[in-house]
Amino acid sequence: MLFIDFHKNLYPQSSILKAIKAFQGIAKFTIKQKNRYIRVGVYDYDNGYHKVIKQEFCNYVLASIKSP
Amino acid sequence: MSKYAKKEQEFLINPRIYPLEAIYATCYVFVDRYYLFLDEVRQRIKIVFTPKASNRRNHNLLKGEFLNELLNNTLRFKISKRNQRIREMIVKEALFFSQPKKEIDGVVASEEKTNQSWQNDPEGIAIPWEEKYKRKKSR
Repeated sequence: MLFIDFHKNLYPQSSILKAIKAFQGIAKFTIKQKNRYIRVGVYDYDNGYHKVIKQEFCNYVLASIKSP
Repeated sequence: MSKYAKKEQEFLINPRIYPLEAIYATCYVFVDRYYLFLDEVRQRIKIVFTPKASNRRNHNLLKGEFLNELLNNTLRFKISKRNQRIREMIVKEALFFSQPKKEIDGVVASEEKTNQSWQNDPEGIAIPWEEKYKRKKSR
C-alpha cells in the first residue's frame, strides 16, 4: 500500500474524490484527514502500475483542479 | 550522465507574488511532459517535477520555461481580473438584446412602431413611377 499526502490548501477534496472515481477500475483507495493533509492510500493495484500510479494519480488531481 | 536522465527537480514559489490560480494554470501546461506534485513548505509552494519516460527534452531548461509560463499566466490572471466588470457588461448587453422581443419592454416596441410606419408608406414613396403616372393619365 502506498500513501499520498495532499496539502489541504493546495488540493481541494472534490478534485481528489474525482480522481479516486476515475482510478477506481485499477486500484482501491482509502482517504483520511491528517493535520493539514488529506492522506490517500492506494492498494490492490497491478504490479505493472507500481512505478507510475502515484504520479499519474497526482497529475490527474492537479489537472482536475484546473478544469473542474 | 545523460541530460535526459530521469531526475526530480524542485522549485519554491512565493504565493504572495504569484497567485495560486496562475500556478495551477502553469502546472497544467507541464502535465503532459512531467509528473507534478505540490506541497507547502514555510509558506511557500514547493513544486516537484519528475520527467515522464516519453519526455526527451532538455530538462535544464525546465526552470526557465516554467517561470516564463508562470509570469505569462500571472499577467493573464491579473488582466482578466482587471477587465472582469467590462467583460460582464459586454455579456449582459449581448444577452439583453438576444432575448425574445416580447421580454424587452419599451426598446423593441418603439423600434417596431418605427418599422411599421415606413411600411405603411404615408408619403407614397414606395409606389413605382409607372403606377403613379398611369393613375394621372387615367384621370
